[in-house]
Amino acid sequence: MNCQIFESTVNELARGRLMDAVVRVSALAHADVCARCAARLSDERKLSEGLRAVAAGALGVEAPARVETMLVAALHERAGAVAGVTGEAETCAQAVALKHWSWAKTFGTAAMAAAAAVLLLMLLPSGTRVQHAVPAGEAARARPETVETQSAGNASVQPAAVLPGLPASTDATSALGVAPRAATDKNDRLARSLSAVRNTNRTTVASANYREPSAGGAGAQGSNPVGGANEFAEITTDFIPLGHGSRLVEGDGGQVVRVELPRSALERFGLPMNVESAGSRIKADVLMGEDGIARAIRFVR
Amino acid sequence: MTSSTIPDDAELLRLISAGDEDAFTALYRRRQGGVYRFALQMSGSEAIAEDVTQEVFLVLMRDAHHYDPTRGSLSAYLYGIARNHILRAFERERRWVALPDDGEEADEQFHERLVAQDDPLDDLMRGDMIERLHHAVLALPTHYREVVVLCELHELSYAETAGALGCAVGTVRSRLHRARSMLIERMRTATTRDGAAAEATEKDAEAAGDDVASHAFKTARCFV
Repeated sequence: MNCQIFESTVNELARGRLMDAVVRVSALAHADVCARCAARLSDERKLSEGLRAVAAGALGVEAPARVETMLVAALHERAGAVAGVTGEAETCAQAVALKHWSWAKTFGTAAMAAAAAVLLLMLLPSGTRVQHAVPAGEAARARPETVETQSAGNASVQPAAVLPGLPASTDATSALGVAPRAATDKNDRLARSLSAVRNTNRTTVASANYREPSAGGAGAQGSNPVGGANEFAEITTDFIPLGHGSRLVEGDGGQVVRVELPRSALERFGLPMNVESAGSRIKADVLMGEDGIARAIRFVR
Repeated sequence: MTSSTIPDDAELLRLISAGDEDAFTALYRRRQGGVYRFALQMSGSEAIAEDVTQEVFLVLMRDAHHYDPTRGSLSAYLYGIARNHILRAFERERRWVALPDDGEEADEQFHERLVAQDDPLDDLMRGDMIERLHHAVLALPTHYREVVVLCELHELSYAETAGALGCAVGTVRSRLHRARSMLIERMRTATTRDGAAAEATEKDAEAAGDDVASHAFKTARCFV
């Protein structure tokens, strides 16, 4: 033990923290014979005592009660907003604008979306069935239907909520005091009729609603959110949640990415498919969360 | 209520993710003190501390499912979020001018400066000196201050502190070592300056022939 090594151990000695017993004994023995190191240890010990006194003086200090009051209010507002979104007749959405977006991130996310689309086809739970089929190509709004899926655990599907930059109904409220934007015909729609299911094995998802472009020609309600394709000619389904624990929570960011899938994918989601065209491909929009995990999918015609 | 019925942080987070308001309130009451004190000790501002505490738990309310227990304790997670908001607040307000970090010195020379013949740190336990130590911590550069606050005032381990700050354990150790040395020097300088000021005042009183004042200052020095 020398002064240089002692200097590297003096903090631990002074703070009384766990350290190697041999090193501790050696350091203390060195302090017994070295006045400089002994003084150094004394200074460090006094500093530790002072810092403990500073910590002790702050022990009872807590956030003011108004912070809890505000947070509880935000919690209630958030719960009300989620319930309100669930009960709405329709919600609107547009492509998500993420902060610090870059082309590299765009291509990377598109690649992840394509991979996720392939993966989901392989990992879809079995037992999917459709109680009421909706004929493909029907112009009228389809009746709501229930698609039952098997879930391995607590498949909690939260009602869709507004993503940053996504307009929603003006009736929706924001727990964080952010006013949702008004819906417009040109904006895409997020799946909204997702019931929050807690500790159950059934997931109720939105129906496949095929909508025609708006009469005014201002743009299809299911307009293409990516790439600026001809938004007047496209018809989309609602977003269908993917996987276990898919959550669309207010405040979450995300990106909608256009992919192509085999038309047989429609059947996997309980949607009607013309078997004669099973070999062709269909466009789909995959909603990717900020973590790169696919949250929902909708099909485009 | 027995200890077995009190849910732990993981259970509360699971309930929060499922929308349980009572679980959120319980977790807030359990953790808010540490977060608030950390923010207050870092910023010295009750307003900033209040805002940061609020933001931390709003994030938790929104993103409880993002916490990964395999990456560290919930405390470290919350401190990490608080730290980010504190740094943003500093950027906005630019309140503190940190002590200049003079860079690395020869260990030997630095060691010499820390060892004094007198021992002005003897008074460290006095209330005023503790207050000065508190301000000395606030005056540290941010990256030193945060390790002192977390390791010394909140008694987090090196590993937990490293997790909260997103740096290596070795970095925490070296910064803490340096920060403590800076605090000792700061306290020694302040005490020496006070002692010199008191001595100068006493000499002025003596020169003026004010025996009463001189006696008073002599007496006061005993308590410095």
